[in-house]
Amino acid sequence: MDLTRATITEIAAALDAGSLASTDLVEHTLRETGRLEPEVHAFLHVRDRESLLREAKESDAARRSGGVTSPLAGIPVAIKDNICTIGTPTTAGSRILEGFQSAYDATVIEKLKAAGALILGKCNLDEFAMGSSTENSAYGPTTNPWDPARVPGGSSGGSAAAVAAGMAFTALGSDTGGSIRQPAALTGVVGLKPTYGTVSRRGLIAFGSSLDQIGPLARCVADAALVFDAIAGNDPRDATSADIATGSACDTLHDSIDTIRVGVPRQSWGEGLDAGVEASVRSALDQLGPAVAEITAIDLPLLEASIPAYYLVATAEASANLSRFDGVRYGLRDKQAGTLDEMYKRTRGHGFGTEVKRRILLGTHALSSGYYDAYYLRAMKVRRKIADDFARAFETCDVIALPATPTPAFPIGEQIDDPITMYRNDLYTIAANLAGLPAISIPCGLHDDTLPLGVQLMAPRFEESRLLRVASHWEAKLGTLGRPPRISANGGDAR
Amino acid sequence: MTTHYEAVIGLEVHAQLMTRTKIFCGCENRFGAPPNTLVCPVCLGMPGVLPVLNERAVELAIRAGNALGCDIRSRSVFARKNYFYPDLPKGYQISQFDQPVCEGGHVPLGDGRSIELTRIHLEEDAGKSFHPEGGGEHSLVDLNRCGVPLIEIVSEPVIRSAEDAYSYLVNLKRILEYTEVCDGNMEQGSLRCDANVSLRPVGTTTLGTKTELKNLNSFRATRLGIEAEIARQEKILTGGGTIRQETMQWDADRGVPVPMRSKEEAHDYRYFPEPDLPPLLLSQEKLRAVRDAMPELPDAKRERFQTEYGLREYDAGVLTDSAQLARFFETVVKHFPHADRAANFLMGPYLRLQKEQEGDDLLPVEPEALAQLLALEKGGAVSPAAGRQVFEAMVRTGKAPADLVKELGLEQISDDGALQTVVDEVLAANPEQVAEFLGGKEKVLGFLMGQVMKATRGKGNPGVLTPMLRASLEAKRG
Amino acid sequence: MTFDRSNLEHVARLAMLDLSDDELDSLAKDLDHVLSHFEAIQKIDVSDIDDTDLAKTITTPLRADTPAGSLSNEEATKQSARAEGGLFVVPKVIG
Ligand SMILES: [Mg+2]
Ligand SMILES: [Zn+2]
Repeated sequence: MDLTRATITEIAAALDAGSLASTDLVEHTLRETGRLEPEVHAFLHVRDRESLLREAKESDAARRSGGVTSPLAGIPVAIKDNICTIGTPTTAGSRILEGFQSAYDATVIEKLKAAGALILGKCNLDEFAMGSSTENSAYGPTTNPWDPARVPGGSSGGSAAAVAAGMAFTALGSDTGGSIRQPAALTGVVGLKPTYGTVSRRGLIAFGSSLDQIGPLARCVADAALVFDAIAGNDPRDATSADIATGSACDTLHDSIDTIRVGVPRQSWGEGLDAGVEASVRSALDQLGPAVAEITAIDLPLLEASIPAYYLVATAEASANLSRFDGVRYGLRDKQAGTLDEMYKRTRGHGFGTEVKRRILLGTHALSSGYYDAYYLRAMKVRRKIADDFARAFETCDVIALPATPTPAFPIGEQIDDPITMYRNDLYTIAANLAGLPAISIPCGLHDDTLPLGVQLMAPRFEESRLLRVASHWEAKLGTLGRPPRISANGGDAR
Repeated sequence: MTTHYEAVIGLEVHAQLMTRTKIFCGCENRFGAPPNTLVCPVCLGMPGVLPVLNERAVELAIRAGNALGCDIRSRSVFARKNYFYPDLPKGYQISQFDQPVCEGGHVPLGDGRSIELTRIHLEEDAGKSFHPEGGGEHSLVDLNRCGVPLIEIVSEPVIRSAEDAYSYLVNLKRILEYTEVCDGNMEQGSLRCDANVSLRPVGTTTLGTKTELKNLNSFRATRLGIEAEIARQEKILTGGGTIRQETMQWDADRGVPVPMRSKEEAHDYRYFPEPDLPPLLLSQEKLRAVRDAMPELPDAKRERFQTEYGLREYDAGVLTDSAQLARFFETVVKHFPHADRAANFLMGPYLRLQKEQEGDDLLPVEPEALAQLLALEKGGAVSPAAGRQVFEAMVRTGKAPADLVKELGLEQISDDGALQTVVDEVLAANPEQVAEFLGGKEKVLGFLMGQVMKATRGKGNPGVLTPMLRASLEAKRG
Repeated sequence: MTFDRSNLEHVARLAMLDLSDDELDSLAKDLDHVLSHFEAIQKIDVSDIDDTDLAKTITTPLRADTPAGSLSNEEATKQSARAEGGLFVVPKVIG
């Protein structure tokens, strides 16, 4: 079995059959990580070999004694480093949390552990998930496994690159405005952002609290569905967690989609969309066509406006969410400061990177006296209109299909000093966060035969099963991309 | 000619709710624990934590609203109030802003007038920072209080005097205690008062520049602080000066309001709806359940004390003045079913002793123990006079009344022979008074009775002694 | 609306961010640029929207008033850059 490409279903079957052990998975992962990390830098922390092997042995023993039911048992999972885990650092990619150790596990970590998964390590990200390239990490950028001169997207760039490079079997990311789907698209993997409220946010270091969702990055749709089923569900410790039983997305993955009506927003084909991306997405839609009831054009008139609405709401929330990093109880503190205000200002001024400061300042401005109505409140109203537009669209279609990103992966350093250009990377992903919808990005081919591209699906709230079902059928038509050839060429197939 | 000014006062009272746990986490809501031992990731504002609202806190806020005649909103919204302070871990306080849980209502002043309320909202308390004596450049932060549930009760700016502000606070505290919303302990900070004070020329209606007076942490401080602030402003205005909008701190030791460090710019709290908490929707069922569980209010209790226990209106008023005393009385009566005697004892020896000890708090005696004492007295084991001595000893030592009766040798003497000897001795020692009595001065009987009780150290059974004394005197008529 | 250095200094004070002179210049320029792009939303008609709550019928869940335990003092303070005697130590709070 090629462990760099095998799906979780295949691996779980081999584990059950006894032809593979969890310890093999750990050895494979550590070997690949050792080989590829110097170039890719997908991880901020990989757990030590002894602990991982001990847990793998325990998992293998449990399996032998019949104590394993979840397909995730014994499988190492990589975790974006803005998700709190006991026993490893949790830095959110920020200097201000260097060396920070959480006193508790995020609910998703509790759930993964309950399913028997092993926590492999913590993945790189844009500082506090603020960015679309993973260049904003205080600990250096992650590179795209398909081209080390290019970004992997962001902010879950480390998670995406780890899965794309075959270092991780699956990974958790977080998506506030596209931070799972955009890097998934740019690295050629599957990325799912669940409905807001479906996966507990407890233990996710908040960026935009009304937008953030944790979700999987995976090698295929079925793997994403498996992880989603494991981490979803009501959490009484998250007041925004929905108390709705959605059922297993895995169970209906292969049900027919021949009654599904697919809506494609006319606004998808607008200015800024790379011609190669457009061609690829149109071709993918052509392949989907025969499998579904119809593909029709719909309207999302405020797609363009989703960018300012999103950046005003998200940064307003972030400006408050990041106030707790004040040097008092944990994290970095500037010790030169003589007065309290100086301590705050210097700790935060030096502890946060430029993009984080930019967003805190923007969000503070959007909420400040005299500007609240024009910025925050108006953005919230536009957000509401966008959600209403989606509700209207879903009267005539069952899922919406559109590009995941306007362009393929761009060179490292190209957009870092140009916030507006950088923010436009999220054009197709943001609206789902504003409306709280589930959305998924799946690979749809290579741009110029070199760089991965993704196509995106959105569904009504809590319709993950429908979303994943259509995605799974579509994936069967489009095929998965596998590992970048330049990485595989170096060898590395296990066993 | 000098201008006369009138004061315009609005009060903001923060009351800690009597819940077991904090408002957004499962840490205990308890005073006096060692620093930073009632804290968890949530109330420490650790990365990734989320608030979950305490049901009891909501119920108590509604209960306060019911008791004060507020409208309870069926939909209220939490908001973040942003500012940096070391006792505020998240850098924002979760409070309510434009959609508070209660609106309107009023606090009675006890003389028929009442003060309208603007609102009551739910919020979380902050921690505490200390500035140790000689501590130099540093402050210390304890976050145990951080996240304790509060209601903030905001009055309209319609209070006109420090005296009315005082009555407002007394009556508000009484209602909050009565409804078991807040224990009312101002020393421990369960109830805290800030005042907004401005002055305007009598006859005008526009509001003058106000100052916010903080640290009014007793009834006395509220009255004195507001009086002093009014005087300070009046002096400035009559001298032709203008009032600066600033925050003052009442310095109770020096008896002056002191300006707190004046911020160069006004606060901008950047309130916005708390994205971590959906709106609080209150169903009719919920509101009904809270109403059904409402403890009795002072007026209703006073009336019930008259009908149920047959107390006079005045006595019922005294006994229901504080919720604690009323509760104490009812517990005593439950164990000693003679309400008139229990009421007399509480209004007499009990309140006298409490007053001597200069406290508003109940004496350190359990109501069950007092009931035992009254039962001993009723059963003849101890005389009322000796009972008072036992009671004082109970307060002092906490021992059981029966033990104290023995220990102090205060068993009632009812033995005829022993008492006759004492009576004879007293009559022999007071021939003048005996003569006066025989001459028709009935009043002397009381004096002689006192002498007899004194001679028995209060132990003589008055039921035996009174007829015995009279009979002995009559016998002297010959 | 334009955003200049004095706007930036004001919000930096509110947000407690120490910014270098260079940062003040470049961030003021960035934010002015960003906000001028964002002016687009001022043109959207939102007069029909009076409630921005996306999930109007959902009430916040309520937690039973049952103690759930706390951290030990050691756990609570061990990550602080400065804690003594179980208390967090900060530069003197004035006022
Ligand atoms: Mg308040
Ligand atoms: Zn707590």
